[in-house]
Amino acid sequence: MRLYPAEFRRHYGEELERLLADVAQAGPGGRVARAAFWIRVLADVAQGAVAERAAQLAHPSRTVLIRAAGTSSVLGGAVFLAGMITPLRGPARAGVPASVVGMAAGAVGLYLALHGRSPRLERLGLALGAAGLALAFIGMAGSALGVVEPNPLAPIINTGEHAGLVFIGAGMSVWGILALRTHALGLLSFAPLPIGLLGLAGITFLSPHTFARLESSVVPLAFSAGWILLGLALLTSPPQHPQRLRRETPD
Amino acid sequence: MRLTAAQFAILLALSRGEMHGYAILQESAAHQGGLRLGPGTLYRSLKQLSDAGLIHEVGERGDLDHRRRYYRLTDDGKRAAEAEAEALKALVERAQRTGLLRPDAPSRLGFSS
Repeated sequence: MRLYPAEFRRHYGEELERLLADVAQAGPGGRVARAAFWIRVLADVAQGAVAERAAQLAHPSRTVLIRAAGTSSVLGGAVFLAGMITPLRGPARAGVPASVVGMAAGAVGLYLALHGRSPRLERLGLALGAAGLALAFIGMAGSALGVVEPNPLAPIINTGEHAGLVFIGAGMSVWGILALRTHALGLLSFAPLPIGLLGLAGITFLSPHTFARLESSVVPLAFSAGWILLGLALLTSPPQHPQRLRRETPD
Repeated sequence: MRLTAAQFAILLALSRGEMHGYAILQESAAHQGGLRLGPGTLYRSLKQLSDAGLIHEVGERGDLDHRRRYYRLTDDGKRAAEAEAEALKALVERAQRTGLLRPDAPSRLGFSS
């Protein structure tokens, strides 16, 4: 049984063991016939285990993808946090965009963990998050274009980035409520909420003075730490199984 | 989705009603031309069919020591089994027309995966 992937074992292991016991009782008599019978049965079980492992490698399950996204989120959040504590220099500056990619992977992992639980809330969170990313992209593209000083695009850049942060916060808040309601991430189901609420705090950009104070406070550090927490929640979340998920889904 | 022989055997068994794993094994051995599913093949195929939405679990039954999980055919599963049966029927008819298969040819099937 140990040959089977853990996820398969969790769902079918007990059942398969019970079936082997039934098969053993009903097997043929006679030592040679019995030995031949068991060789065939065990070869079949071993072949099934190898095939299941191969299938898992070729098409990683949702749980594997969620775990990978969790790892990316932890790493992304940690690098981003490190970059804020000690400004990165030289080639290490590439860590900043890489950390953003890692955190975005965390959001994808959260979407996968929530998938099938409430289509309406999932889609609402996705729409808000996607709008936030689009706005943030406009801001970042503006940053890339507006290298001249004085930068005529500065208002667009700032508005895009800050509004993007608020939309991402709104999306994460919706997903956070859904995760909490459905216990999608186990004990750490609250993990998306800190990111969501801290992102929503970005609304203070409407008052530049307040936003500047927010930027220099611990809020950005807590925001980065939130992605580490989300990553840990994804890594320790209950394993996904399509059949089990369908049964939990009210709609 | 094109079905394997084992998947088709499972759908065929479940077309008779809800069954647990061991009953599916017995059913396929007794009524499907001696096709014997191995336990590993059975559960791997059950997982694939379940992931594809062709069967679904309907809970566990039995006393505490002999609790078994039951499986049922979905509407999609019924349609897939019918389509597969039609395709196999056409192949058999073709084999008979070309003389490869006699109408009374005996079936010799072992473990299938």
